[in-house]
Amino acid sequence: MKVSIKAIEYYLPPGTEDGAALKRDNPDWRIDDLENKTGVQVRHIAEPGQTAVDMAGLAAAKLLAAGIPKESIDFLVLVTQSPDYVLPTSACILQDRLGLRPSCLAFDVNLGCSGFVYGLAIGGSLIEAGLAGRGLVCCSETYSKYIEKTDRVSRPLFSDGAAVTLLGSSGQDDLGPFEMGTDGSGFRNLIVPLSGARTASSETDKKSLFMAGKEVFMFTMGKVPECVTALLAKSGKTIGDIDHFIFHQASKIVIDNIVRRLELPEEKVFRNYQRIGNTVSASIPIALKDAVSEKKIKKGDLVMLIGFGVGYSWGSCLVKWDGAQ
Amino acid sequence: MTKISESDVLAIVRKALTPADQKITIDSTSDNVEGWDSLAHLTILVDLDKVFSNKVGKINEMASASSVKGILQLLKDNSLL
Repeated sequence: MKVSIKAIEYYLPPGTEDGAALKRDNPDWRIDDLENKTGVQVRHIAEPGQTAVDMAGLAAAKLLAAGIPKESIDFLVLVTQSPDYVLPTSACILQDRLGLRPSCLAFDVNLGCSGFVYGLAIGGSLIEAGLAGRGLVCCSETYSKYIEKTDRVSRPLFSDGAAVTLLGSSGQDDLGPFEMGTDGSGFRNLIVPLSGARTASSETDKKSLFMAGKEVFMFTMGKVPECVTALLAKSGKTIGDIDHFIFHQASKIVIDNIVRRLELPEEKVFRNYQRIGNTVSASIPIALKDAVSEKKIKKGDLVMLIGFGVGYSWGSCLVKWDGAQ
Repeated sequence: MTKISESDVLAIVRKALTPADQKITIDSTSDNVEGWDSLAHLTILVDLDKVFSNKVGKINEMASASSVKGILQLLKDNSLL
């Protein structure tokens, strides 16, 4: 696609939790063991009453403040699984919050850790098709609101955060190809079961996340390397042609295992889960921004983005970095 | 590929557990061994996948194999032992 990433900004709530906080609530947890496996040392937690729309609004305001005219935004895609309401669409609330013009398309995408790649595919397609000139892909999650304090599988991993990415047209093919897929047979393995219309309304007060950690891990072990290999084949590239791999920052053990199976050079794999945690759909754009800020990604670099998780859903794409900061 | 034995598999399970150096036998399960939790199980899965040249990652049932007997049976069923 003749589309490129023009800018990324992100917001992390200032409240954090570390291993000591987990230990206080759960004295029997072996925190060293948890941190060794997950790699996560600090997670960000949204305030009570602070929502995905609030966080996306703060990230977007930061991006727009850098001289992007609000009137120039043709679409707003909000990737979230923690919407403010079942309805209306959170993106509509965000459109109003940001003061974007009424002719701006705004809609939610209910995807998790694969969501940023899908957002790029959707936003890129709108631009490529001539339906839009530029727009925002917002990824914002407050999974912490779904997680019990005693949940040893999910609580040590998930973190709240939002990232906003500005897409615009480019003179060259900076975005794509894409490789995406779905296996809905795994839907029960990462789910908020007492939610939505499937459950009687009296039961939906307790919206707790359930993750079958071992089953989800097996999915990542098999499907993610396949997705990477398929994208390399589709694009006619080899691992040597890719300058950087930005995986969804699921956890240390998940990324270690993918890197091992693909035999990737460690120096090409960016990681920031240690100080940020797993921010679901926001994790890839946050990592991308950090990698650029740390000058690991430079203008002209070829970057592979790989998202995977809840659904099951996965997606990967190539980005030719055009120098955005 | 070097031939992997049942005792090698027992050693992989033993190495994944905290506290270390526990006695692991054919009858060990996640219910009767301290520290065989979901995180330890991930380590077992990774280490088995390494020694069996990435073939264990294709056996989805391994996720719920919470005993040495169950693991060995799945490896045999998939012609890895």
